[in-house]
Amino acid sequence: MAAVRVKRSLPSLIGGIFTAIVALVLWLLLFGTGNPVTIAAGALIAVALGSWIRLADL
Amino acid sequence: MMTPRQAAFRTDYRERISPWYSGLAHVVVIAVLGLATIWYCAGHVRRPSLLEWLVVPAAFLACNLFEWALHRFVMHRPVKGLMGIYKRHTLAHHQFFTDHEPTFDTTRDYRITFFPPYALTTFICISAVGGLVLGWLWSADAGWLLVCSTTGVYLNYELFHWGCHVKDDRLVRHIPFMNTIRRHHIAHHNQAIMMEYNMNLTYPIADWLFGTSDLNRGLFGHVFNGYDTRFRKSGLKQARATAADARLSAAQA
Repeated sequence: MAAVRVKRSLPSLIGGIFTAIVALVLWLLLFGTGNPVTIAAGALIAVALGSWIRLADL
Repeated sequence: MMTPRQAAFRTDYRERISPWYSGLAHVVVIAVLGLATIWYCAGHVRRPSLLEWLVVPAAFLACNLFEWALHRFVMHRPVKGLMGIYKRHTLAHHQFFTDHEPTFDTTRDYRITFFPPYALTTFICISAVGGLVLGWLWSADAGWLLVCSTTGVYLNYELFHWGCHVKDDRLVRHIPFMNTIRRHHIAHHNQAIMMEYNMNLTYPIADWLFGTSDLNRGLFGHVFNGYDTRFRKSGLKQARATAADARLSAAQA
């Protein structure tokens, strides 16, 4: 059976970016902005989350 | 018993799910974002007065009305600018799940069961604006409690909706409220009544209030109805086999 090509929707792109921003803000509110490593970890998680939402076409 | 039309829709839908999708990750993302928001907001609540605590039941009831209205007037109506929600719900979720076969088979079917995570983050942001306004106009504790309550109701919604579509109901059928909404929601998946009846997805309070429930009983009976079907209204519309079903059946014969 031929694999069906997944055409990703626009909401998954906008929603992915939006969720990444909200997740980063939530992370900074919870863990603070005093430590650059904490900020970098939050940014990394936020980007990973946003990318996954796009790739998974949610 | 699944109709050929529903089976065909499910096959087609599943083929189009991205290989990157994970049902477990979907649930974890929603749970972590929601619980983290509640944790953060609850940590800021200091010493609320009795009046400020009343924000919690008020938010609960407001969310119940919001859930009913959103479901009835957006998810089941093609509204300009919000067509994506209508397509995802009425044209996909209601084709995938019917009252004949309302349950999912694997965690990959979570793709069409849970809302995408950005629905939660949008809801949190809207609630946060409400919380800020309430905090500015009245008290900070009231504002924090508002966001805690609305986010809690959202997670409640997702859990109960999962309970409506889970295949094995050995546990759910005995849990008060969850068993009520499972029967209520599966009845809503009858395509003959889905546009008008059983719009609540947590507690059928607004459906009772506005007369859009398939049951004919009081509020208490509605909320604690469980699987009881004795009080179903008579004269509700009945679904007919569609032309597509007839064609598929003929093709398979």
